[in-house]
Amino acid sequence: MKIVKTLCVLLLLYTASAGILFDVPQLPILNETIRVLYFHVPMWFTMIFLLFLSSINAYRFISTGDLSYDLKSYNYSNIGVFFGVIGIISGMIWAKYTWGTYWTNDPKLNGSAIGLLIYFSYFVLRNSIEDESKKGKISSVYNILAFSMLIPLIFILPRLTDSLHPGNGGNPGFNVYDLNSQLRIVFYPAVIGFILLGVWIADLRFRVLKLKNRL
Amino acid sequence: MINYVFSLIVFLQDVTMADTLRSEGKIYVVVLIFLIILSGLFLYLYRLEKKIDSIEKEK
Repeated sequence: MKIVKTLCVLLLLYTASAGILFDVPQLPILNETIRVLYFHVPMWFTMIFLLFLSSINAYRFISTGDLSYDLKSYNYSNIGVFFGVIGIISGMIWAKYTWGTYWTNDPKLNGSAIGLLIYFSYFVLRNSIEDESKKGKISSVYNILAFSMLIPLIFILPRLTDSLHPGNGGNPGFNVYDLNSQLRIVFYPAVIGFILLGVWIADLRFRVLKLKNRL
Repeated sequence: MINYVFSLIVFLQDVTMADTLRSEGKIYVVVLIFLIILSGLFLYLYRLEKKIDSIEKEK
């Protein structure tokens, strides 16, 4: 855990300074806002990573019946959704100044919004059940379903149609047009740094939850 | 009076100060503030962790 924290601090301090100071490709319309890539996209990477951990822990709870896995699963999805909400808000502001509007009926945008709504209802479902083991079982099953819905909503459906959002429409890899080596040297450290930040926060919150539930 | 104001403006324009943080469109100020906010956030997380540590030890 110590190495996670040190690495997280170093990578994010690097991202904050290099992300603003380093040279970026000069593109029309985007101008300097291309730097938002270093902060907006890692939010979604972090969200996916944490929600993946959440569904893994949900699976482990179903197969073992150990309530601490259920608590872990709940905790990871909570922090994951938090990053997703920040991702949507930052994306909306970026869209306003490049596409001209906060929201368009773009498949990527709608997909991520639906994905988040599915997770919101996970929390509603979870908190509506009193009995602990029933709560764990039902919400774990729902959690796995929610994650498997998220994959087509965010990664598959947007690629089947045209989309304003970079990385969609057809089958673009990461290296086709929007990431060059100038961006990569900040983007990848940023992704790792924010994922580690998410893991760190999730660890703290899990320990609080554990104390609260006396597991 | 007007003369005085003008001379003051000229005087202010001539003042040289520590301009390092103002070069290149003052972007370094943004970086500095960003770094301060991040450090504050990390410090907060670190302190929170210490608190949780102590509660865990009590139990």
